[in-house]
Amino acid sequence: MMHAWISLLLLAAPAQAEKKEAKWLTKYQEALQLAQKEGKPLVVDGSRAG
Amino acid sequence: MESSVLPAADIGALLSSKFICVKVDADNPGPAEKVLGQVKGNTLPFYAYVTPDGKFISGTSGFRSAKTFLADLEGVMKNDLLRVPPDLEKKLAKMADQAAKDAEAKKTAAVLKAFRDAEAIRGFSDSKDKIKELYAQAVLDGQQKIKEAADLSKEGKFEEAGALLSALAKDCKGTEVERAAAAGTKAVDRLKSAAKETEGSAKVPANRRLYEQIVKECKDAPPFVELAEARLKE
Repeated sequence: MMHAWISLLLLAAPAQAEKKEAKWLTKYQEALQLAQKEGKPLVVDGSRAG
Repeated sequence: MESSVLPAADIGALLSSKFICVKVDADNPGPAEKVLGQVKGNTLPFYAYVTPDGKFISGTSGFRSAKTFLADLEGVMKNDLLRVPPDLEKKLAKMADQAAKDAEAKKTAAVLKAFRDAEAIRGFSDSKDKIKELYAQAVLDGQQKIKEAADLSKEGKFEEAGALLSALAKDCKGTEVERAAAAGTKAVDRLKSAAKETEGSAKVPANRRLYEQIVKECKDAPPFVELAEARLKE
């Protein structure tokens, strides 16, 4: 029951209740494909591994 | 940045809703080299901002405070490469004005249609955001009506509850609310049947089955599930 209500709340308030944590992909080409599919820009974080 | 900037709630919300994020090894970036190579500076971390079709927009080198990083992201979102083209922006502005009037007149179906049409247009736009807010409000209103229908059912006003849900399902066709309204309608039917049995007593086995069915089958309409659970406890 809670799940259904939470789904509705998320749907109802996309501006206020968006996910708070970003998911960071690790493969550039996959990320680019997803960006094309969803029509969103990419943020590419280039850091030192480890 | 990983420990202090990226986890910030406002930054996380913006990144997750408006961007696709990817982390690569700066020493071995692979195909990301072509965009990271355009970032000016030598200090890690590098951040490159790229259009959905792979064009470099801008980039930064070195640590960014939360405030600066947020400003970077907002600046990228205002870049012309990511905005809805001017001709479509004009169309969206008209749609947003109309949607606001429709919302005022409680024409929910029209607001929902405007939202779907606006979402089909790619790119960032203030008018799209405005329509999205109107849509969110329309869905919240829908949820309120489901609650009202559950309250009416509680008082035995099943016809009124059914009419309210039927109108809601029609208005919110193709959305989560329509599903919730359908679940609510199913729950009203069960409650009505239960009411016919010995004045709706939860002690009657047939009624218990009906309430259990609501709990099991009408999860998309939580106020009705709460009502059925309360009856089961009676």
